[in-house]
Amino acid sequence: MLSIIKNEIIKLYHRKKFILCSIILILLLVATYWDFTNRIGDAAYRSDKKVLKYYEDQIKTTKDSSDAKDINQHIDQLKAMIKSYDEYKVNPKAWKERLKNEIKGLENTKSGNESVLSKETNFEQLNYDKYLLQNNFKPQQDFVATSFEFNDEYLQIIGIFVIIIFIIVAIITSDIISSEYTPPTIKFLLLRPVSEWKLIVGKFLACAVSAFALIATCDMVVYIFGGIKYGFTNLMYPVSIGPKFKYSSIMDVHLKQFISVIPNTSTVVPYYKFLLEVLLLQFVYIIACASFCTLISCIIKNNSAAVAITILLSVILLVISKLPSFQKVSNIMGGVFIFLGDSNAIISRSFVQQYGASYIGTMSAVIIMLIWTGAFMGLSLLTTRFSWK
Amino acid sequence: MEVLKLENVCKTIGKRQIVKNLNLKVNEGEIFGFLGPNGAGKTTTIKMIVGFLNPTSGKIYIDGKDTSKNRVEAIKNAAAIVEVPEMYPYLSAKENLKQLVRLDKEIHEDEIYKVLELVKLKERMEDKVKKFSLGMKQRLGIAQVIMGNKKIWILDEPTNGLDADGMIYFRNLFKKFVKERGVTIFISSHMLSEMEVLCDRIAFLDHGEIKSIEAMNDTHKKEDFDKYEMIAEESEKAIKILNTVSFVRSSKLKENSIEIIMDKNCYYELVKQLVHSDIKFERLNKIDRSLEDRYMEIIGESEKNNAFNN
Repeated sequence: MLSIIKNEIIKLYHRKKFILCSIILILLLVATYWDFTNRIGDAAYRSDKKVLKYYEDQIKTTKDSSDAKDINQHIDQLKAMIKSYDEYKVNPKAWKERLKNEIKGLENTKSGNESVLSKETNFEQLNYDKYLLQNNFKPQQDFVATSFEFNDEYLQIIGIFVIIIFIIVAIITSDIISSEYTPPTIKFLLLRPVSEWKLIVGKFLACAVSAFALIATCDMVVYIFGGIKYGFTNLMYPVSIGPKFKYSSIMDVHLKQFISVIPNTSTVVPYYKFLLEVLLLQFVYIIACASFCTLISCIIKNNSAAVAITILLSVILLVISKLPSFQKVSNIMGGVFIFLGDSNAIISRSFVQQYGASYIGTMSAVIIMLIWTGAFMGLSLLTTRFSWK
Repeated sequence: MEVLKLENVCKTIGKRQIVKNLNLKVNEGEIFGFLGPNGAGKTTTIKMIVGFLNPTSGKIYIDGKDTSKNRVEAIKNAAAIVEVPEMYPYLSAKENLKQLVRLDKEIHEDEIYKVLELVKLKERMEDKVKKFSLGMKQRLGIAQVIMGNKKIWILDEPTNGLDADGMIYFRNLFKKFVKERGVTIFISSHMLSEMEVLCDRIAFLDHGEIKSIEAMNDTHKKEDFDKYEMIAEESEKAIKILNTVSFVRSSKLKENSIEIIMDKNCYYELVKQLVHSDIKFERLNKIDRSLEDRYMEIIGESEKNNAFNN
């Protein structure tokens, strides 16, 4: 099996589609860096000042009292952020004092009419701040560019453009069987003492490993580049994980989903664990996508048609998922492998809040994707009989 | 011992029966030819032997192993070229052979350089196959067959695309492997002259049926007549006289010579008759029947019948 995988990887690396995938990922990295430098650090400070000036101009001309109230609120928030940045510039080492004050503020928040969700949000922030203070970790701030924020930016972009990973897997995998028919190199394979199932599984694994190697290389580039440019983040640095949810027959008014928060389930995980979970989810997502593309390739024996149909199917699914009428049943998205590509959202549990799929966590997402993989590969093996007429 | 055996093999595609009840055995160390016109079912039969297609009915055994029950085990002992040998065009010749080595545990990587030298491609081994001519691809295909010391080589038009030198070279190479390593070769070709000098036995296939399987040594002994070629001074007079002789079946002018068909072993009677009739002749040669004659006799007759029936 290993020699089949090696053969397939060599074949993949000699084809133009591999260069195409590398170009897509380089563009993704450039987009990440461009967006990051325009949003975080000094750019954030300049942008806040610009917005503040805009609101200050607005307030002079606004006559409506409720509008003026809103604008004043924005102005106060922006002033507070700018002040905090100025203070940081003057005395960057005073972050502990500021953090202690924030903790005090959160602890003194009186529980009034706030929702269970906002209480849990406060609890999450409080836990996180305490962890930072206890372990002597500086909190992240938008106006300070760090490798932690850079990595977060990259994961968010991957989350938004989740189809990019799918497209890369589709380009690599969708013609894996069909390419053996044009030209008919299937004859070369069938003349060897290797069983059909080994060929299919070997091809699938080679594609999955190659696609993962590409994505993982991209992850590594972000991690190393971010570390060199902004300083490496301590691997024990905390990552905040949102609360767990359970199914509820009553819709949550804030989230507009049929879920309710389970109190005190927010937690904190060290950065290394978070990164490992991201890699695990990416790997399993790639495996699931590769198995789907392998099945398409087994059914459609034409190279370009196989790639086009795979990408078209995924785009149709993603478009359907954005339709307003689909939002009512958005919780089923957690059960469909193609929507499980945003590792960051799954680990931080924002996926649950967004789609109401209370059953989704790292482990359940892995299990769901592996079940899809098993089904796709089973179908591929059952339906494929190599022949050459 | 038989290395290849076909038992009542039939193949129907759609409503058309391509191969009808084939039975043959190929013995170890034998070069077995598979001869027939286009559409006779040669390539379909070869595709069934190597497992590209399943027979509709019947059994195929390679080295005693049933190909339909265990293709992997059966193909272990065989190497083949089917139609044009296909390789990965974006890989080099050497890498294509390396791919083969990784898929077949019985082939060692050291063999790559030896076979590339043997098929005269060593200097081009780093070139991508997409730059190769048809003849070079054919040579690389033959290189794949040679690797691994397989018991039987199944070759479908293996000299297709080769120049005259190449054809002679590979014909001799095939013979050498049969003689020195005891390889068995099952070969299909349109080249009657090639088959004639290469094969020990030939199966004549037409419309999916084996019409005859003949040993090449016997082909010439099959007929009950002898054929002679004579160059005489007065051809017309000679023909007239010859047609009156009892053991001469026919005589006719063919280009500059006279073709005589007569009963077997009557050479001395013929000479006596010619001398007696005062016919002056320069040459009187016995003509051995070629494979082409036999082919025309078997396949041509069938074609005639078909044309008549249609």
